[in-house]
Amino acid sequence: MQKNSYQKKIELKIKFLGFQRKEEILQVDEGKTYEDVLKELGINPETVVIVRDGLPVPSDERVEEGEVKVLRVISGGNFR
Amino acid sequence: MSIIKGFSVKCKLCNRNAVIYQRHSGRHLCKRHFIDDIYKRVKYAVRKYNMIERDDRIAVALSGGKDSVALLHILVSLYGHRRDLEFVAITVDEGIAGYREETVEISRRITSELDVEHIIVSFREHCGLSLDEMVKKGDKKPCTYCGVLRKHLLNKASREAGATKLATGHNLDDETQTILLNFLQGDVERLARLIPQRIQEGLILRIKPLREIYEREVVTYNLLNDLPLALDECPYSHFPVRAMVRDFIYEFEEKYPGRKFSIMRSFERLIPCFKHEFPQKDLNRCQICGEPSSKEICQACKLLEEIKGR
Repeated sequence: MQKNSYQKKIELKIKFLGFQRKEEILQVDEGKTYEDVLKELGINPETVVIVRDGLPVPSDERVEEGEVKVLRVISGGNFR
Repeated sequence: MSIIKGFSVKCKLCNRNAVIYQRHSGRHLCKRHFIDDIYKRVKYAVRKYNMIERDDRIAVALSGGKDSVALLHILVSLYGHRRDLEFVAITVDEGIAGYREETVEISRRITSELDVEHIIVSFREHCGLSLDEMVKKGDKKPCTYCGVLRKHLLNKASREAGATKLATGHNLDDETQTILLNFLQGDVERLARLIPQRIQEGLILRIKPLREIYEREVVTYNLLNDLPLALDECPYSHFPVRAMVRDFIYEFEEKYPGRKFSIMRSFERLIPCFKHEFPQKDLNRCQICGEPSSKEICQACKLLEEIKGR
């Protein structure tokens, strides 16, 4: 990430599916990717699929204002 | 830094919006090219292990979970036009209240939509008890009863349905977890049994067409094809060691993309050694139920005798 003195924020609403947490509204620096956001939340991007407007989105895509769903896709044991 | 609203990453192969970033291949792919890629890799796995042969009647183990639903859809899309092949879906209803009802319903719906013959067998009907009842009565872990009896019923139902193969929805994540888990537990003999070596009488040959597909790709495939996605976990699911191995592999893959394929390839290189070191034993028939077993009484009958004697 390049460091700007002025960093615009984007509002991102995340609905979590298959997690303990349910829903969060975050203020994300413009230019960040979904992957960046997930890592900051302590979620390994390999373990989820991100869905925007009903379609999957690449995890390295830049965050857009609005809502996404994060589906936890891994199974096989509750060890969270 | 200016970002155009609605900026999306494009497919590496065309100009459409990408739906996935495949880190293992370094490619962004659109819906069409992603689905093409899935089909290509399933066909590759099928050919590599001769999973599907002329005139096969393939039983598909359909729990109604995301993997088996994807498996059925992919097999029908790829091979449904083949006149020499037949498909029959088999659903085992273990009897897990609040969990299995939904996926049994999904199984009914998907087989009817895809016009595939569907057989439902239940623990209650075949064993006299549902899994819930076994758990209450018996002293073994739920996964012991379920694992043994589900395999037993799947084999029996496939054979009685005249199937020549039994396809399961195990994906790349499942397989690499099992490989590493068995290795870490020192259970090399079990590792050797992961790929059947030859046909045994009464035992329907198992095939795993999704073994080259990541779990998150399975979910992506279902989303793109409007297929049902039952993401709930079984309430009994409890595999702490597997979960630890799984979490390690996810971290490893995140840092070093493509390593799940490395695990799979290493395992495949070892298969000839396994055949040599652990030749498959000839199976007997269980004296009670007649199912193939290495012992005189099969594990399923042993469990049932024990629980019914309580």
